[in-house]
Parts: sequence; C-alpha cells; structure tokens
Amino acid sequence: MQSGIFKQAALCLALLSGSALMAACTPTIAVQAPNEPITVNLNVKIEHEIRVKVDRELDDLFEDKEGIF
Amino acid sequence: MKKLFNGLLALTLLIALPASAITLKDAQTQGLVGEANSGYIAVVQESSPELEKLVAEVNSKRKQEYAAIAQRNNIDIAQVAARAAEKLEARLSKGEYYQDNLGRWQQK
Repeated sequence: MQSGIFKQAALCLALLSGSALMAACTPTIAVQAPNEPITVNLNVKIEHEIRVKVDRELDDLFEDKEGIF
Repeated sequence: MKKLFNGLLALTLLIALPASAITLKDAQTQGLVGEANSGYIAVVQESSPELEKLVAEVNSKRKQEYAAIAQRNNIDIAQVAARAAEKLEARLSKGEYYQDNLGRWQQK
C-alpha cells in the first residue's frame, strides 16, 4: 500500500518534470515579413507578360510587312 | 510616231526598273543577305550598290516598326530588336543565312 503511493508520487513527478521539459523545448516561431519578395515576383510577372506581348506584336508584324521581314 | 512610241517605252522602262530591284526574299534565298544577330539584315559576302540600298531600306523600315513596339511596351528598342532576331532566325528557310551570337554567318 505504502509503496503504491510512492509509485504514484514518482509517476506524477516524472510527468510533471516531463511536461516542464517539453515546455522548455517548445520551438518559438518568429514570423518576419520579408523585405522585398513581392516586388521581385511582380517584376518577373510583368516582364513575362511584356515578353509575351512583344512576341505577339512581332509575329503580327512579320505577317503584315512581308516585304521587310 | 514610232520613234515617239519607242521613246515612251524606254521612259517607262527607266521608271519601272528601280521598282523591280531585288527583293528581300530573293536576296535571302540567293544567300546575298542574311539575318544579323541584331534584328536587322546585313550583306553576307560580296556587296553591291543595289544590295546596300536594299539593306538600308529594309533596316530603316524595321527600325521604325521596332521603335513603335518598344514605345507601346515601354521597353528599349534594343530589347525588341534582340527578340526579333531570335524569332527571325527561327523563321528562315533551309539554306538561308543568319548570324550566330559571335557574329559568324551560319547557314540554316
């Protein structure tokens, strides 16, 4: 009977220290706004769009002005 | 009367001849001019006044068109011309000349 109480107490202590340890290990996640990725992405997108547009205009040009292309 | 007619004929021929000068397509097929890596055309080997004239005319018209596209898209004319060079090279028929990145003439 006596040893049962000790066992329980030991278990509680173990769980407590365990949870305390876990709490200590909880990772901290810091979310930091990046400085300029949005601008970069936008530039890539615009450049791509312009490239596609210029390509299309050039294709039309080659068709229209056969004498010089 | 016949003399007058002959004179008129000669005159029409004189006026019509410059219009029948070599075309870009002919010059390209004959390998006289090629697509330079700049988006414009250039004489491949032996030049002649007629070829020079063709090259100058075609290139100035091309430049105008490139400039219009560049302005519409707010980019540099050189970027348009460079893109055109790539596309023009791809459009050539077999045997026609283009300039590679190092400026050497290659036959497609």
